[in-house]
Amino acid sequence: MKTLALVRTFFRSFFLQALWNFERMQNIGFAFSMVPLLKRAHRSREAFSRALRRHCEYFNVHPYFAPIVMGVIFNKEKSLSETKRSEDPTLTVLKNTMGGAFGAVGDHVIWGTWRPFCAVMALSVGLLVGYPMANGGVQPTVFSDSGAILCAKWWVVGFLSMFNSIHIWLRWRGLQKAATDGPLVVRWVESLHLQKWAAQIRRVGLLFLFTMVLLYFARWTASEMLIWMVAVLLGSAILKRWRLSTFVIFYLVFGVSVVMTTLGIHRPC
Amino acid sequence: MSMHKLIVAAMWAGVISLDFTACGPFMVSQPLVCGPLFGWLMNQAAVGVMIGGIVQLLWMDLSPVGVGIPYDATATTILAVYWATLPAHSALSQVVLALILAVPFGFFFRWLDQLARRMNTRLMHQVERLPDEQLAGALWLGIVGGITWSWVRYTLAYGLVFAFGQMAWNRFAYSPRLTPMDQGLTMAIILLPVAGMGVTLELFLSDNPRL
Repeated sequence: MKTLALVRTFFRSFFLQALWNFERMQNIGFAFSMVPLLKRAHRSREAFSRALRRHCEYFNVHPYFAPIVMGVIFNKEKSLSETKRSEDPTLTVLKNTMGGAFGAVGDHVIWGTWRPFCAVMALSVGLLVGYPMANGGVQPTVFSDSGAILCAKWWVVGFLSMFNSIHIWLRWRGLQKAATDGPLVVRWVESLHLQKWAAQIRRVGLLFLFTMVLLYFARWTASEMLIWMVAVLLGSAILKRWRLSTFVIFYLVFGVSVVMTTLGIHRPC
Repeated sequence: MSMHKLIVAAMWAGVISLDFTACGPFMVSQPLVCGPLFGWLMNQAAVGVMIGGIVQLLWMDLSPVGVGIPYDATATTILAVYWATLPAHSALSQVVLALILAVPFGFFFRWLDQLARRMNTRLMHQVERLPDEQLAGALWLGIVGGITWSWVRYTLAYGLVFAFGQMAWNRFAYSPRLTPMDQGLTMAIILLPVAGMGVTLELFLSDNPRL
């Protein structure tokens, strides 16, 4: 019975941001996801309605960590119901505190590390299998249909399965653990050593990125072209470090390309 | 491209864009996924792969943090793929041209997203106004309404921008010639991934990624 409620909340949590708004952010999505768990926590209709109304207030968290907060709130709501109290002022504080903390962790670990890592890995593997060098490694095959299809398969299937394996696991396991352990779930999150893993993943990601750079650069043998490519690589990294918008970098690269062709450095294929 | 194809393309683009916030997100809206997917839908997977790869690398650091709505790289990818696949067999210079045309629209779609989220506030108040006994049902309607509204606005926006770009494309009637400009565009398809790698390098080298 409890597992069924957890499964239903798990699936509902994917729509957490369907009605994201500037005033209370994910409030409607949170309340919507909590319905099965609140029904399980509160037997009386009035208590359920009161709890549901309570969860329509401001809420914001990283979407992948939201099920953990949902599990904790279920645990607290259950104890509220068992002790026959109608209100618990610490509930809102707990919800918002966890939202803020998990929001910061999620932004750093998921958006800032795991997603770029999966993307770089998929990109480099796709480039390796999809675009083998033709004619003994002299001519780059940038625009072949067969290569593109192979590359696309690696990008789409490889990236999605790798990224979502952790995503789905974190959501489901987090919800389960939080529903059982309540606020003590932070110990479980702590035991995952997410920040430490993030640092390691970034190092491995850097390795894959260098592999991708080497694979890509190896397709061009003309030294003049390679010098320009290294200049563009380092230049864009430096400009990004100086907080220049990618939008500007994009048009700058286009300008550099026109200058290069004007100087007579043509594409070697 | 016919009106029928434009509408179908806009509807698919709307479905892909739902992943941005409304459902999931499962990262289907990431350029390296939506580029090849949309390219495949337009029967030119190679174009989708090229555009998706370039946009992914260049805008690798985009994240929806807090109230901040990031630049819409999904829209840039989808628009660029659509315009680049207008000719039966696109030249590399035409792919870059489509990308150049699509990049500013990422800001336009971000602005639309901000507008839509303001509309969501009104929807949220409508849901909240209902009495306690109807609240659970109202939440259902609110979520379904939010998803439908997201899909409709994305489909309409894509449809209009697709059509606008198609008109501009037809008027411009660009065809590859051996001019410095054309060669510059072709050269850009090689250099843009390199610039993207530079941007990603900076992201991985920084201790605290700027989100």
